[in-house]
Amino acid sequence: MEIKIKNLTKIYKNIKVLDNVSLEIHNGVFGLLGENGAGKTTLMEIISTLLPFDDGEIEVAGLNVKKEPLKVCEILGYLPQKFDFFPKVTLEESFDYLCKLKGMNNSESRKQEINLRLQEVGLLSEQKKYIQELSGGMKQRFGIAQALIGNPKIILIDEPTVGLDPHERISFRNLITRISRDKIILLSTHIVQDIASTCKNLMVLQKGKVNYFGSTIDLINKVRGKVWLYNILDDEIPHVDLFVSLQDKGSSIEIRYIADNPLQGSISTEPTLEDAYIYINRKELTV
Amino acid sequence: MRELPFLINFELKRLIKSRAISVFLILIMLVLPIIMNNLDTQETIIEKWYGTLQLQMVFLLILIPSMVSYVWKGYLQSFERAVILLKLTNRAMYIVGKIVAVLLFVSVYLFFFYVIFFIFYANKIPISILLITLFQVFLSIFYSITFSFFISFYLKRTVYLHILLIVYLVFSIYLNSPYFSIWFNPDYLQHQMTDLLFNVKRGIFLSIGILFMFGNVLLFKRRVNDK
Repeated sequence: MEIKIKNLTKIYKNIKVLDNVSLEIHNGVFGLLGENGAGKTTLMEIISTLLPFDDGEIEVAGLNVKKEPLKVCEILGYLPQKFDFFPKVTLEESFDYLCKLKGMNNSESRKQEINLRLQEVGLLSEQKKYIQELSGGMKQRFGIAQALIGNPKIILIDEPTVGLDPHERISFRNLITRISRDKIILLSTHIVQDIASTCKNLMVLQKGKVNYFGSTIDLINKVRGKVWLYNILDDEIPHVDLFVSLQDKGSSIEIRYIADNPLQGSISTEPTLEDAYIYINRKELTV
Repeated sequence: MRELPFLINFELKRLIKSRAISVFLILIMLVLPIIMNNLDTQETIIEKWYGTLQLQMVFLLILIPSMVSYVWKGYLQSFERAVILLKLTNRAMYIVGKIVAVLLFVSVYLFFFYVIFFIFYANKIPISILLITLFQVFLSIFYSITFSFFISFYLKRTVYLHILLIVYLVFSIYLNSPYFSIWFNPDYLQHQMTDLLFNVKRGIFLSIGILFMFGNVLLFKRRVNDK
């Protein structure tokens, strides 16, 4: 099973939101990385048939998105960014409603589905709670549970960890990894750590264009031998090619940077996905 | 179409759970008629009824924008778009479900009120008068709901909807035009309601309400395709 995208272009108000995007996604968690406004959500909405597109072709599990949108929807689950729901309905009522809309007409099978999905995300004991009573992390888990209704083959997850505390963020990542067997999970985020801990393959989008498409390891390897640490004793920060971060070490300040020719006295260090992302996007960070 | 009953049912559940709306409807449908009925006046039953109906309709029509705003914010929230619409075979049914739910919700209250009313006054008010009046009542409610939904696509805040509807209502009662008015002066209604031409004009008014309904579907479809 795969998602195939060929030369996809989307124009909105005379601006190319997506410009000639091509990629193939196979089973597992696939990362879609890019800063805000890069076109990630637009791409997700186009794949999910919610948005029309201007040019190109999309095939989802052999189905043409333009010609067979209803069939595509049947095999899709979607968790949008900042997921929320009607506040004054219970989790159980919301789920029952969504199961009905997904075509589950038998009340017994609906009940089983609700129990299964809520158990999967650890919300079974909360099913009588109103949506407004759920924490941010619980809402996100409800979001992923609703995306799993009917056991879809493809799940689109948009910025799932924004606003979550570190504990919730880690448990959410584990949940994504757990449900990813035999499925395509397309995880869109601007948080590099989310991709680093869940995805084998990824695409980096920048201003609607594909900046990188391939494996996470290959992307990291692009900066191997180019990431350096340099300690400074005073406040004067030297000029470096591509600045990554600054860390206070007590008596000195440690600069992490990317360069082909390092400053004298720099120490080479193991690259991370964040280094590679900054390198590929060539985004100069301000101190 | 298979999802329409589920959509209506869910929106009805949400409306029932809104205590403020239910309290106002009970006040309008039950408490107000009881108070009006107990006022010591020399009016006949029909005159009393029309007096009550006039007040009921004014309050009810003013309440409709609140109900519309409760079920529809005037724009698609991200979860509505990506979670609910994705599960529908016909996405336009989402807005149709909301319109029908508000209409049904008000109609159920009206139905119970008139069942009780009819039990008490069955032999004092001719059934034909009752039915024709009820038709006008439903027509006004249908029109106000579809009109409020239509305007909500442009005016995001409920208070603006209220202001617009109150202005429309005042003009309606002042003009007493069957083509235009959402509600009338009770005397005018009493004299005109059995007139054929008046009812033909109200038929045209109904058609405008239906046009608003189609307009809502079109605007909704456009919103779905807009980012």
